[in-house]
Amino acid sequence: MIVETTDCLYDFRFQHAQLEITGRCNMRCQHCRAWHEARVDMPLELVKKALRFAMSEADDDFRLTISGGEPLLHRDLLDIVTAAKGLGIESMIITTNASLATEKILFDLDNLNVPNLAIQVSVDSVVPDKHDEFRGSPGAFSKAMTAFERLRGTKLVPSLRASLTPDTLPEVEALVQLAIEQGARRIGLGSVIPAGRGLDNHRLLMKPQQKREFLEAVAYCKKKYPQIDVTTEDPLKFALEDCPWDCGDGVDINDGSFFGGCTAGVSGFNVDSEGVVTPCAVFLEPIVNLKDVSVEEALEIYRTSPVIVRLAERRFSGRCGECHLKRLCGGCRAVARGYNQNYLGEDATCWLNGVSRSECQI
Amino acid sequence: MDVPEVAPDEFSELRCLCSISRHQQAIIKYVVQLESISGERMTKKIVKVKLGKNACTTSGSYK
Repeated sequence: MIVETTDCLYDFRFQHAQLEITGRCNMRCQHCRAWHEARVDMPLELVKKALRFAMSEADDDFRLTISGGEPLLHRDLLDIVTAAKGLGIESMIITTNASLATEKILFDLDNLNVPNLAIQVSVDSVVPDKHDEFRGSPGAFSKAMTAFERLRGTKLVPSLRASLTPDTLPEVEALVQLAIEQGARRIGLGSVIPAGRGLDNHRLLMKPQQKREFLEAVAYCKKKYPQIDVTTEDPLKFALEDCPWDCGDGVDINDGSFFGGCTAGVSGFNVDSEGVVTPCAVFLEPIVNLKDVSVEEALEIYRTSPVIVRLAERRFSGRCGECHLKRLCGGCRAVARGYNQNYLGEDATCWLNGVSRSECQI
Repeated sequence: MDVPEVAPDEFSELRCLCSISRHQQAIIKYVVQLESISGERMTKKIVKVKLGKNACTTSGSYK
């Protein structure tokens, strides 16, 4: 895909896409990013169209995330995974609260023989009541643990995902230990992002020093527990003084062709249950609705979208614009959008060069 | 059309794009010279994007 800016023609391929196959959910999570979305299932034909859209510009190691809402509520889930496999997608993740992860559905998913199909179970606290309250669903923790038990008898890849708040920040290591006990091969930890319902629940958002403590704790666990893949999507991890995550061999982080950290819209995109394409699942700037146009038309709209052009230019303002880590980190564009109503603004949760929260809306 | 040096095959899509939107003058290694229908000429750098390892792929993470 070629994206034309004022002085460059950027040539890139999608590495991943996330499809929110349903807006329906059986929980009421305090931080839900999809809270505003219609409670509808994405029709199978629209799912297939979104897959064609992704694969027409996909990289060789493309990965697909099937999400929601709660994706296990979609009656065509098996057909969706089959369709993706049929297009050559070998690496998929299904994100779930696991309350509907019956032995039968896990058995059926396992029998589809996708080379790398991960079931990512959300667990946000090691304290059952705290997790249940955060998820707005009594018994949620117990159901998640049952799902991990059931996954042990399959070829599916068990994974744990935790969304942390200032309240659960001290639980990072305990969550990693829980993930190991439950047989998870990977644990992804992130902070609540000001998008969807998270935009209204300010007490769930970390302040800069809390964000630093959080990322330092995740980095500590990555080194301490090599038996599990401990990771975080937060681009600010590259601002740590002793960052254990590498950005690739032989790369020049100051080169204009290098895109690290937040690569929303460039490395991939999100599609909500109604077909609206956004740069990522929490960066909810609409680009095109796949329902309205052909795949070819959607690609043309995408590559000429002012949002995508600006993300390719990477000309940020505030501290992110002046930061020496601009290309390696870039700050979270969804955080910038949530705090500043400007997705090119600074990531207000960054601790570098002081804190300018007075300039922010929250 | 005078094309001093042919671009790598990976930029075939770019050549196609240019032929549709503008009159392509030449592709010289990693720079393309363009001329608009109104006659305005410009040069743009071709950037093959390199994605860093461990970049944020919120897909599969945040939920």
